[in-house]
Formats: sequence, C-alpha cells, structure tokens
Amino acid sequence: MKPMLVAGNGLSASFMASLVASLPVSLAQGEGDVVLLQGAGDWPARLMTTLAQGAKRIILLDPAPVPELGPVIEQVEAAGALLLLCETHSDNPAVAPFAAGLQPVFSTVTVEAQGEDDLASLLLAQIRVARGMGMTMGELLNATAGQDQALAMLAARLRGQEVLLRLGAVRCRAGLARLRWMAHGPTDSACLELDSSGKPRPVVAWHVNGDGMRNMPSLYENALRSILRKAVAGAWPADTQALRDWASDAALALAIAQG
Amino acid sequence: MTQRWGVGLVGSGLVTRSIHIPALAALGDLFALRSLWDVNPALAQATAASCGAQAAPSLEAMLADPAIDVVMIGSPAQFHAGQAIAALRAGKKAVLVEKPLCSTPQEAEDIAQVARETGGLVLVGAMHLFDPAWRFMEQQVAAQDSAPSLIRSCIILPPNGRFDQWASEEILPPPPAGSPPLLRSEVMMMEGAIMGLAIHDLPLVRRLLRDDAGVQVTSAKRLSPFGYMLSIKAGEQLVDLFAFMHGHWRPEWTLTATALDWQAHAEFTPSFVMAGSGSASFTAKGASHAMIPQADNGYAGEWQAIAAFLSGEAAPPDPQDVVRDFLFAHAIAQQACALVAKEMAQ
Ligand SMILES: NC(=O)c1ccc[n+]([C@@H]2O[C@H](COP(=O)([O-])OP(=O)(O)OC[C@H]3O[C@@H](n4cnc5c(N)ncnc54)[C@H](O)[C@@H]3O)[C@@H](O)[C@H]2O)c1
Repeated sequence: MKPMLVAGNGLSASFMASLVASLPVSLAQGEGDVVLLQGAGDWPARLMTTLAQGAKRIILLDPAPVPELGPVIEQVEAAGALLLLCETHSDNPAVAPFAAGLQPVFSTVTVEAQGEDDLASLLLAQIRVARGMGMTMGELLNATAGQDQALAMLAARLRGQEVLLRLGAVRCRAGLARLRWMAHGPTDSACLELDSSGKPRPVVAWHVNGDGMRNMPSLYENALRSILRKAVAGAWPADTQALRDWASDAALALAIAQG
Repeated sequence: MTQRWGVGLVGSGLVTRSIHIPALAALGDLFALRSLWDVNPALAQATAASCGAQAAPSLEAMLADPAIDVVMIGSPAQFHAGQAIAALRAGKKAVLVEKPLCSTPQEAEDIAQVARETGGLVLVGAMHLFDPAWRFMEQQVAAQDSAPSLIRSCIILPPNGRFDQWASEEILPPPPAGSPPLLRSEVMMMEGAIMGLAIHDLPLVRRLLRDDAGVQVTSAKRLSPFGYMLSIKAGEQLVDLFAFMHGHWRPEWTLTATALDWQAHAEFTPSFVMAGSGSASFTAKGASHAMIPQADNGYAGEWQAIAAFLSGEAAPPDPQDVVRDFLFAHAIAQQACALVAKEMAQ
C-alpha cells in the first residue's frame, strides 16, 4: 500500500513526525495528498490560502469557533475540495459505540468541561459531543456566563426523547482537562468521560441501571488517529454539510459564551 | 473523665433512627441519650426501647428534665422554630436543629434572638459542614488568593427509602396506605427540593462565595421524577446546582469549586449511611493532594462540635451564622419558585 502523504499546517515538526511514526504504514509526511490544518483562531485565513494553493483534501483539526463561516464554506465548495473535521472529543472513537448503546430512557443530560481553552471552545466541544451522542439541539433556554465560566440550559432530543441539556464549562489550568457527558433517567444513568489532551488515553464509559453496571472497553486511541484511518480508507464527506452543522454549533457556543 | 452531656431527641422518624441514635451510640464517652419524644407515642416508645432511652410523655416533660443538656429537633420543618425556641427558653445548653432551620426568615431571626438572650447554642444539621472532607476543602480554598469562578453542587441519589433500609431497621410497620398522596404543585416541589435537598450543601456554597448578599437565580428547572437544575449568579461567580433522584443504586454527591489556577473537589456519602467521611482533593499546578475518607462523618462531626463548644475547647459559633445560611437558601428557593411560577403561567 502506498502511504497517504500528509502535510501539516500550523503544526510543529515534532508533532507531525511523531504522528506519522505512529501510523508508519498508512502515512508519510509530504505534499500532495492531504493537508492537516491546525484549527487555532486564524484557521479560516489559513484554509483559504491552502485552497488557493490547490489543496483538495484537508483535515481540519479542532477548529476554534469563529463567526460567519459562509464565505469559507463557499470557497471550499468552489475549489471542489473535500474537508474532513477532526475534533478531539466528539471524534474520539469511543463516542460512536457508546452512543449506539444508549436506550431511549433518559430525561436529562449534563455535560461538564474544564480546561485551558477559551470558553467558547469548551462549550463547542460540549455541543459537538452532544451531537456525537445523536442529540439534536432545540431552543437555548438560558445562558449565564462570566469571564471564565458559563452555564446553559437547552431543550434537546436524544433517541427521540425530549431531554433537558445542561452545559457547564469552566476555564481551569489545574488538573486534567476533561469533558464529562452524563445522561440521567428514572431507571438508568450513563456516563462518558473524555480526556481533552488529544493524547490517545482511554475514556471512562459506563451505564448503570437496576440490573447492574456495564463498562465499555476503551483502547488507547484518539480522534486524530481514528480520523486519519478513515481518510486513508477513503471515507471523505461528499459535501460541506458537516462543516455547515459545525458552523451552527460554533455560533451557538459563541452565543452562550457571551451569556 | 470528661462530662457526658445528656441528650433528648424530638421526633422518632428516619433521621432520629438512622442518623442520630447510631451517631450518639458511637460517642458514648461524650453524650448520654436520655429521652425521646414524638407526637406518635407508640413510635417514641418503640424507638426509646431500642436504644435504652426513656420515652418522654411530652415535649414539656423532656425540656423540664435537668439531666438533658442538648436537644436535637428531628420533627418536620414547620415545628422546628417553636420547638427550638422552647428548648432554648427551657435553658438547654445547645439545640441541634435538623435542616432546614425553620420555615421563614422571621422564624430564623427569632431563633437567633432567643439564642443570644439565653446563651444557648444553635446548630443546624447540615452534616457536610461538619464533614472532614469539607473542612479539608475549606482550608485549601481559604489559602488561595483567587475565588472560584464556578461552584458546582451535584446530588445524584437513589430514593431515600433504599438508604433508610440499609442504614437501620423499621421499628414499627409503616402506617397503612390511607388517603392518596397530596397533590403538590410544581412550585411547591421546587421549594421542597431546595429547602429539603439543596439545603444540605448551600451552607458550603455560601462559604465559597465572595458576596452572598445579591445572589440571583438566572434559571431554575425542576426535573422529573425528582431533582432540579439551577444557574445562580453571585457577582462574578456562578453556581451550578444539580440534583437528580433515579431508581437505581449508584449515588454521586459532589461539590466542586474551580478557579483558573486551582480546583477543590469533595465527594460525600449519601444521607443516612454511616460509612465514614467523604473524601476531598485539591489540585493546582499539575499536582493534586487528597484526603482519604476519615472514620467519622458529618453526623458524628455535628455532635463532636457541640461537645467541643460546650466544653470550651472551641469558640461557640455566632448565632447569626445559621440565620445567614437560612436566608441564603430561602432567597434561592424564593427566586427559583418565582421562575417556575412564571414559566407555569406562560
Ligand atoms: N441530615 C439529613 O441527612 C436529613 C435527612 C433527611 C431528613 N432530614 C431532616 O430531618 C427532619 C425529620 O425528617 P425525617 O426524615 O426523620 O422525617 P420522618 O417523617 O421520618 O419523621 C418525622 C417524625 O416527626 C414526628 N412528628 C410529627 N410532628 C411532630 C411534632 N410536632 N413534634 C415532634 N415530632 C413530630 C413524626 O411522627 C415522625 O416520627 C426534617 O427536618 C428533615 O428535613 C435530615
């Protein structure tokens, strides 16, 4: 098999070298196949430049929430480029199998996130994990925010059931940055706790009811390696719908962060 | 040998049987449980017989007994103020009132006023205030320059009955199911949830706030089957109050205070159980240190604090403290109820 050539944008040489070395058969560093674009705040400008330079396959890594993404999306479409999102929390390979095991028995979901990131990014990660769990977001019922912390309440749906969704984000440089998604119902609770470092650390995942507790096995794997494997397998999105959905989640995160 | 303080218990319900009688039994060198009184004389007698105490024929008789130094009020909340004041007026040295202290702000002020007049101590059975886990957390937080930006109180519990059955035995069979359960409005349920459940940790939350005077509840939702979700603003600080009672067995009772550069976290055992204290941790600059569970929990801590105050080992608390705690909880309950009422009207 010919390895997929990956060029980093906004990523350090050592990061790229260790990434490629961790998937030595699938990947090689170089121009031509895929640009791995780091998602710090100026990512739309860097993306535009990359498109102008002719990139056709781009993986966007943890994009920071930015308003007004319309022109960027149009540019991606006009360039005929394929763009794959890679988000540390929602693309963690534990999320999808955990979500698949959820039954329609919950009435309330709480998501807590803490870390050094800015408030809107912490909130966006929560919303994105909620989406990864198969939740659809309804009305924003309340948002209260300070400089380093925010609380929000939304109407949402999970497995066809109406649920109340609570988001709580706090900036903190102490301890492990993490995100905890927990669903509560009269008979069951389910919880998934994700490490925010981007390192391939196992998650904590359990589901409990009157019959007992079920833990989900979780390997040392992370979002980036899992998305790269997808890309190598050719699972690129045919359109920009995922990016459009992301943009609406980013707008929601920015609105909540502003209280 | 140090003096053993005589104790009388008012009410012979779950709290008396599952919490205070076992806690006192373990502190036999400090306290002697002398009598119990309940409006249900059969229950008082059966409970008294189970622990070698007397069943008092009336509250007045209990309060007139000079061998009783300390009275614990474990009756329903609407009786707390009248009974606490009667105990103080009867010259009791200390009154431990189960949470909530009383039903109205005026009652709280009246209790504190009588405590000042008589010199009697008033403590509220907010057991986590006396839990070593909170003491550890409080000490760590007090040593920081910054205040927590977010305080989260999370109470996820199985129904009370489970713990009561585990914690003690039924003394008398429960009364036969008679009239249908009282229909309670959403607003009453919210008030009950805050003054009955959130109130356990609101005194701790208050102590983590820079300024508790102008708290503002910005959103309040009651959760089904039982619980709440509240957002509260206190100046620059936010408070997240969450509770959910489910039907399975796994409890999760935590309090977390987070600032930009540190985080303090406590995990408590559920009410009723005598499983030792909670545990706590403090994290800053990439390292944590933790307090493992101690032998005594907050219920024992309440009685140990009373003994320390009475023997002069510790300075007695300001009677206004319990009033401040009550007013804080009451303000939150009132605002939350107003938000629920507004939503119901829409
Ligand atoms: N600290 C805790 O963990 C905790 C837990 C639950 C309840 N509580 C508090 O303890 C108190 C009692 O709760 P409980 O769960 O034991 O209730 P309960 O209903 O089991 O018991 C109350 C008892 O009071 C008796 N009673 C009724 N009216 C009375 C009166 N006027 N004078 C004396 N006794 C009277 C009843 O006969 C009953 O035996 C309440 O204030 C409650 O909020 C504390």
